[in-house]
Amino acid sequence: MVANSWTPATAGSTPDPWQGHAGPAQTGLGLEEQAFLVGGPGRAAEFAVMSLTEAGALRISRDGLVSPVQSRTQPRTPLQARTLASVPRSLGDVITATAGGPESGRLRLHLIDRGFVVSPGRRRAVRGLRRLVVLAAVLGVFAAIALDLPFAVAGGTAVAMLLVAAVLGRAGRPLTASGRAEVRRLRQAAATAMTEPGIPNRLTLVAAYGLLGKVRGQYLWRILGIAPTVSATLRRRSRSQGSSGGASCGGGCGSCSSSSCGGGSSSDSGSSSSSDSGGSSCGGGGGCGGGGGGD
Amino acid sequence: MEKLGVGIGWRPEIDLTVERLPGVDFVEVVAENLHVSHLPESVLLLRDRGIPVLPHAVSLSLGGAEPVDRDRVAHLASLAEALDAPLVSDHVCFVRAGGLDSGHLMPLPRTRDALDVLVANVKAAQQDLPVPLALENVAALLEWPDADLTEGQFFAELVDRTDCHLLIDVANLYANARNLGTDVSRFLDEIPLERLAYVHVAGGEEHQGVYHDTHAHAVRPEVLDVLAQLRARVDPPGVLLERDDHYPADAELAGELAAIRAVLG
Repeated sequence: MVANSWTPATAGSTPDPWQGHAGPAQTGLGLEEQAFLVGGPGRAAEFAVMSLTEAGALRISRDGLVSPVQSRTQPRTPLQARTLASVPRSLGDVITATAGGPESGRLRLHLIDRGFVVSPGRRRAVRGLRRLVVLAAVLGVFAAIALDLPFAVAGGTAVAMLLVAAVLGRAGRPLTASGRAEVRRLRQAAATAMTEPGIPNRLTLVAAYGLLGKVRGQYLWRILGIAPTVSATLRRRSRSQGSSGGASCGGGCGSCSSSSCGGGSSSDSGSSSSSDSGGSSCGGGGGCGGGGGGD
Repeated sequence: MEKLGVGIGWRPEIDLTVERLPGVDFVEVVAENLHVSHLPESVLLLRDRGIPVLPHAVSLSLGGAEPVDRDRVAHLASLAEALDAPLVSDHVCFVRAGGLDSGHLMPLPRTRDALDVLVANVKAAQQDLPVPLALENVAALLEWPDADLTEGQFFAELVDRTDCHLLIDVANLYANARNLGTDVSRFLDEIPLERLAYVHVAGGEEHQGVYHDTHAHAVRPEVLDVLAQLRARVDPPGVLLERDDHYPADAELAGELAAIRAVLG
């Protein structure tokens, strides 16, 4: 059996190869998909690697070398299949390879199709329109001054146009309202997971925060018991790195420190930061390329 | 010989597994893969736990016609000291000749001339080693013609002339029995088992009628049968599971160690 033909037990009527692990709510999205929405391909790749590790299909050495465990464990998602095909490598390299594979691009398209991620074309159009509106507002102010129009008319027009620009800015975020709702659900589940003894839902935390994310002042990798020598192989990437070309919140974050790419203001208590702007916002330290955007 | 117990080959890919496996009494490291100046954290941790760490060399080429490379011996010696190892080991084989490296552990002609060369090299190595040297039988896919001695006689005379210890690989013995017709019982009867340091156990697979000692597959019951034959003659100071690739789950490795313990009784 191959990943593409896997039919998840938790899926709805339509078999969905991306749902390796059921998400925290009855939304039809798996944790891997939610990880993508929160942190982009890098986060989804982290999730794929860690879910395979938790399942015993991969082992990580003290130095961070990820190697396959000889078994009949089958990948549950295409991203997991890419991960298994990418080892042995260091943890950071496996995540980068997985995030940079064609499967993460297909996951993005899948989430666009399902209405969780805004398509790149629409985002480009909205951003272009927004620039035009801002430009028109500026020109309008100059024109009002030149034509000696009353200040109330000029100012009112400019304010109205800037309000339109702000609305368009929100419309240009990488995630749809449904996508942002998924991100909020995941963060809520992660916050709950942190209160449970023994942290049984480790993968929920990986999806929500990323290994380099900070939860209650501690790096998640440390909370999960990953050795510092292993975490040293993880790397943060700037938004411009690894992007599949163009806008959005980057394409290939090797390991993103935290949230979020258009997730909307979150209700979680542990995430180091969040963003409601549609761009990335990485609180855990260096820049983060992850994001759910839609290139 | 010091009692070692049941152990497993330490490899970087399974370092954490080796650390957490229950009942690992000793480990073996491949000497050529380590540098004394920066030993792996895991190896140092095991050493500090009091678990014997035995350097196992694969490149001394003690059976080669050329004098033994003193730099390689020096590396093995420094590793033994850094790890507080009770002994070190290599194979009865050659791996290079005329400037070429075979990449394999090549069997020796079991002639008296070859034995003389081997004995000279072993003695030279022993002079530079701070701990006893144990020598291992290899798996071979060919035998040189015109042998003067059986494999058991060859090893017995080697021990007699060098006072070396023996590292008997029962998987190699099984492979040679399968592929070359080596008489396992006769071999075990002829070698001086009182010089036995420890035993290797490993897995393999049959391919086109030839058994390959891959160290990448599960240990076959037939190999454990050879271990049982040895156990019927002597209580080995140590038995070590070797696995070099396609590492299985921790539970499977633990199961193989348990199977070894069951044979030892």
